[in-house]
Amino acid sequence: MAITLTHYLVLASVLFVIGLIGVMRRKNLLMLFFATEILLNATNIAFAAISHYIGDLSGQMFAFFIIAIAASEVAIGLGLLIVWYKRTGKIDLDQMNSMRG
Amino acid sequence: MLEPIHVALGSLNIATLAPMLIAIVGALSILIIDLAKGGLHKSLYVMIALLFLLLDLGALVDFGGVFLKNGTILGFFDVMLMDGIAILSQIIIVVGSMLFIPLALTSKRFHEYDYPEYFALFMFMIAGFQFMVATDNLIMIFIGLETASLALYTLIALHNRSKSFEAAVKYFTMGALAAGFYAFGSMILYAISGSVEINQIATIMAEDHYRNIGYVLLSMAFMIAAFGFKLSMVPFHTWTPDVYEGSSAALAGYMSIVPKIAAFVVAMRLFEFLVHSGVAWLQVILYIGVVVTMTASNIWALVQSDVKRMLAYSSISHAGFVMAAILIGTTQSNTGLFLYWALFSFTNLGAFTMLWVNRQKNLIAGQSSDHPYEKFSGMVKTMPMAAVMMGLFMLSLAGIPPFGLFWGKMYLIGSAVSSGYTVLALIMALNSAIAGYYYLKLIVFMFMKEPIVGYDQYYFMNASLSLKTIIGIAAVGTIFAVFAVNPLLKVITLFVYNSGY
Amino acid sequence: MFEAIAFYLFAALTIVMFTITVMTSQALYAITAMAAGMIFISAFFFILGADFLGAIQIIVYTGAVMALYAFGMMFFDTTRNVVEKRTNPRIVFVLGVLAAVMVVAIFVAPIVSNNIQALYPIQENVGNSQAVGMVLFTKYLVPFELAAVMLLVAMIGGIVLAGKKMDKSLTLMKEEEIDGLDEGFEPEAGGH
Repeated sequence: MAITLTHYLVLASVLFVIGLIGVMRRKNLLMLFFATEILLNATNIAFAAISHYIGDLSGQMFAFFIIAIAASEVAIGLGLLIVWYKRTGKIDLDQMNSMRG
Repeated sequence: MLEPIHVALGSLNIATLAPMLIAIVGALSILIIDLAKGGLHKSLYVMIALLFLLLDLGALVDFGGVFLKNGTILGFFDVMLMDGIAILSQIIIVVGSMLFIPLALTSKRFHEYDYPEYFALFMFMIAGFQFMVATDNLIMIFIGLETASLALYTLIALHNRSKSFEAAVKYFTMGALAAGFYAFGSMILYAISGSVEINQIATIMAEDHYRNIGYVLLSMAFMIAAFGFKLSMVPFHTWTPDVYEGSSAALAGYMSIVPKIAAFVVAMRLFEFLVHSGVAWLQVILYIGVVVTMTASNIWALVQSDVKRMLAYSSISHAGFVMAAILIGTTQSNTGLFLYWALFSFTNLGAFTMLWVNRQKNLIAGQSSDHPYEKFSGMVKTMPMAAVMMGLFMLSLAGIPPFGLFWGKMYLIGSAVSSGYTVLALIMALNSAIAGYYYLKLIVFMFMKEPIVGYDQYYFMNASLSLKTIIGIAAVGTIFAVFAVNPLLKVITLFVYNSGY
Repeated sequence: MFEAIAFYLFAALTIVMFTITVMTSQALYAITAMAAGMIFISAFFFILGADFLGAIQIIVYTGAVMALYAFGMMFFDTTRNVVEKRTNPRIVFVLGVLAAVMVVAIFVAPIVSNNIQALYPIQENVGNSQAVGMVLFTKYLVPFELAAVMLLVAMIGGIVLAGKKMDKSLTLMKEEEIDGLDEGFEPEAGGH
């Protein structure tokens, strides 16, 4: 029972969908950001696996840059949450309803 | 052990980095000047930004000349790709930015312009967009996109009021989701082709005769979702009106132009080879997406009570209209895309600048948003010139001849007809007619209604010489577009055709 | 055999951890489970021979990202229970169907291609970090530098947004009020 690329792709898809469920389900913005991290991590597993099975380094490079992107997103995201929290004292998506139409 | 690699410096084509490097150096010099001497007036930073953008434009025009002579220029191990559409879109990006940055010189003071970092982030954002269009490497596109988006989220939030934070957080959340989709989509493309470069992916897929069609379609579904967020295609558009309303009117106008042309170029690179390969499913999805985006957003725009939200929905509709060019995928339609967007930049930025000029700091009693229709009622009596300008931009957006956008619409619909998409052409024409209604609604408010007493003191609250100049430039661009269309078309066709689109 | 056992073990662990992350109502559980999940993911990288990536995953995610989130949690006081509305079960159902379709599609149609060529082949006798370095500083030099610019943008953005200068809003103040501000508020490098 050798582990093939298919196994890894299935695992990545499952984790990606878990992340999507998190994005849909979470109302607390910090928790929602966790879920977006899961999306990117699921992709990283798949990239490393493809890279291994094809024997090509580009996939590892992509995963490497995705990690960098995830890290910078966290910095901006937390900055936004901090100003938002200072103003309102809450970080829920539901109270973001001042604009309608 | 690895052999040492010797790279000839000449083979790198370092010049391909020049336009982006100019923007980055501009950003860094703004930061350094602030470090050396704080508290300088914002007009200095505007001038520095303009200067570097001008240099940037010069480098791009220079590249244009080289491109027409020698064809596509590759650089840095083929990561950098300066083909016709890259150069054209960068020119639109830089010109749009040059029109935007003088809008910082308002007569009222707003929070964001108090930060030198605002101008630095702005220049970084331009560099990000430039990198995004000047490559066909999926990794590079991703990083360019994220550099630009992260800067843009900050620029929105720096306006510093509740609505702008809300806008920035919403945009950020959607952007993070889109980044996830983009990464997953490119992962599938990598799995079936073993490459992260779009032209190689296309070649390998064709050699395989699209055997892994399920994977191709899955990856395209994720890519359409990712770019649907960026281009605000229905049903991924929900963030757009809120984000436009929350950010300053000038930035909203900018967002309706520059990020979208960058996304359009990537979408062209990514989708058109599949459209040509006859993958029917993708064509159907794109077709539905285009029609729904145009029609639904037009209908939503009809019921808006705020001019800025109306313009937000209208710019979604325009984006859908232009997306049709990617669906059609001929040289003529791609030329139409660039022509349309060049003309649209002037008109739409003009319209948003008119809102920016009329921005007051505190809401009038009973007013729930910055720019309700009532604010403009009877404007012709109190501010005739401003009303005429706004009317001009509205007529152009509605596609009434002889103003700018009419020619763009004509050309795009013409390209749809000539490639056999008659029904699509009909839908496009019909949508232009529906759109006319809500643009005329504002004109009716300005020209037919009586001014509301006390509101006229809020007109031109924010006006300054540089804002008026930008409106003047936009108006000239809109009125005299009729003379520019033919030469523009010739140049654009040359660029698009020679890069193989 | 070893590989299969490791794969199934870590697959089960990551799935459980990330499920806890998205489902629990305790913020503390969520962040702990997420940090654990990130570590387990690095195990896959080691199994797949991407040692450098595995090390980076542990350093960046559990070292930097998780520390930032932990800081955020303290700041936002989310250590109490997170109250959330009931999720629309339809969305979860639709996503579940999507997942099932994707998994089935992957099983039914394995990727077939005779034309895949490794552009940057993994060589047997070269260490992973060495090979990664070689590709990173030739082919991906420009993306690497741009990533540096992106991190700079993120840093500037984070500092500016979280800075003290954002506490007062010139956008909402009247012009006279701004004139009345003490000089210290006007742009000054040390202001944030």
